[in-house]
Amino acid sequence: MKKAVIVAAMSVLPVSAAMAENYTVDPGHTYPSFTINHLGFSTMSGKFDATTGAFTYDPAGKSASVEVTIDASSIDTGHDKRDDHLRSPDFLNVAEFPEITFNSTNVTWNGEAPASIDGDLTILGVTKPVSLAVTGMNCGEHPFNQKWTCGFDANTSIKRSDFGVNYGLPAIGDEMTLNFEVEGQRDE
Amino acid sequence: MQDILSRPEVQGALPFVVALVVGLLLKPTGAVWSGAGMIAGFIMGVLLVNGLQFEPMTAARKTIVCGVAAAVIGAFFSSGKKAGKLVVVLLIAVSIAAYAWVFWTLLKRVEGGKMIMLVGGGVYTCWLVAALHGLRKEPLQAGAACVALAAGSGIAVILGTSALLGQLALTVAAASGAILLLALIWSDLRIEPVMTYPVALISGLLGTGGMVLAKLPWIALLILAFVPLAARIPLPDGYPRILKVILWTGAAVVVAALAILSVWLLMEESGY
Repeated sequence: MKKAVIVAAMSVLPVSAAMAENYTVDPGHTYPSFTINHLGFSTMSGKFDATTGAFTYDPAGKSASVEVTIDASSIDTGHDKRDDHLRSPDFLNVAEFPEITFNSTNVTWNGEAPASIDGDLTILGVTKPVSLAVTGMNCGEHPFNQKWTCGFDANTSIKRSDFGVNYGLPAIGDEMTLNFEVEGQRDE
Repeated sequence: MQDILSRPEVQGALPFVVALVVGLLLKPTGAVWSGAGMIAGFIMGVLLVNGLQFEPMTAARKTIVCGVAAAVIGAFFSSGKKAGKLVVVLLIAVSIAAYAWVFWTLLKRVEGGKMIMLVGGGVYTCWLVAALHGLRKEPLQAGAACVALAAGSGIAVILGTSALLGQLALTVAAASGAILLLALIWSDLRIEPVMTYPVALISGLLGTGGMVLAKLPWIALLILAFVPLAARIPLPDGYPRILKVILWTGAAVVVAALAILSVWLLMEESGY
């Protein structure tokens, strides 16, 4: 009986693995970004230049997952002194908390397209559940390297104070929008 | 109300007032404990700058905890009956443990230049603890050194791109200033380790934090290390107390100003 169960399990596993395709995030085309109100005057934007991760995608089986790790020190708002300040203990405290991570826990579907990705966002070591709205998901053969590539756009709003990033409140906005523009190529 | 409390002048004035009031209230208890007014002012400043939030437990928040604990430990050694050399050895040992706890996240991960900075910061912190402890029986000199050290650390760290750490140090400076004022008025008022120890430990930890967590150049800490020595310049006994305070504080502030100037010159133009 035991042997039969093992054989059955072994016969199912490769099939599941084949259906859920694995993708490695392309750091050259994946730049998480954010916008935040600056002193009530304007909406300021910035991005992170170094991101790694992986995702799985199976539209037929309505199965997907994503894990992204952002190098917090790669923050880039186009102003070196401001970036130094954002890296300091006043904001991201990158020396103590070098990574910002997002790990999906559930994906909801609208037909064969993902509609939202629920997951755990960790900033400054504080983990909170967030839900990313997926605004686009496209797959196809990459025109230059002929590798099968998928990409998606997703966004959410968070309150930075929920993660202990309190400096400058309320002058510098509490609520901020996070945008994830992710591309990945299917693992061979 | 929140707008008023977040104003820099209020965040500087309230710790001063609280330290002054607590120092005055504690004076009749024998004047040994007046230095405890400093930590009361510091706690007031912490409430304004950080609030009561201690999650996540960052190095800055650990420094706050260490500062308050240092005041309690300092109070234990403030009776004046303990052996001086043994006390300073114990305080340095406790400081090393506190330092390791505050920077543990970095200590277990970094190497190379950053590790050298961390070791240097530890030596700097221990030096401040020993040097300020050496001034504990001289309230005017101790007060002058505490004010200049904390103010110099605060402004230097702010220029080194961390306003949070800098504000905490400036809170210590404001509270120390209140106790120095009391020491100027009452010659029997003593400052003791209840004040010198937390000021030294907090200044050391915040200065090191500015260096390893932000962009404070190490040269600033090297210069700030001379602040306690500047407050030791010999003055004739016949000088009026007010003149002594001015000269000792002035000497210590000049050294602190040199540290600030070094940061100013080494950091690129700010403003955004």
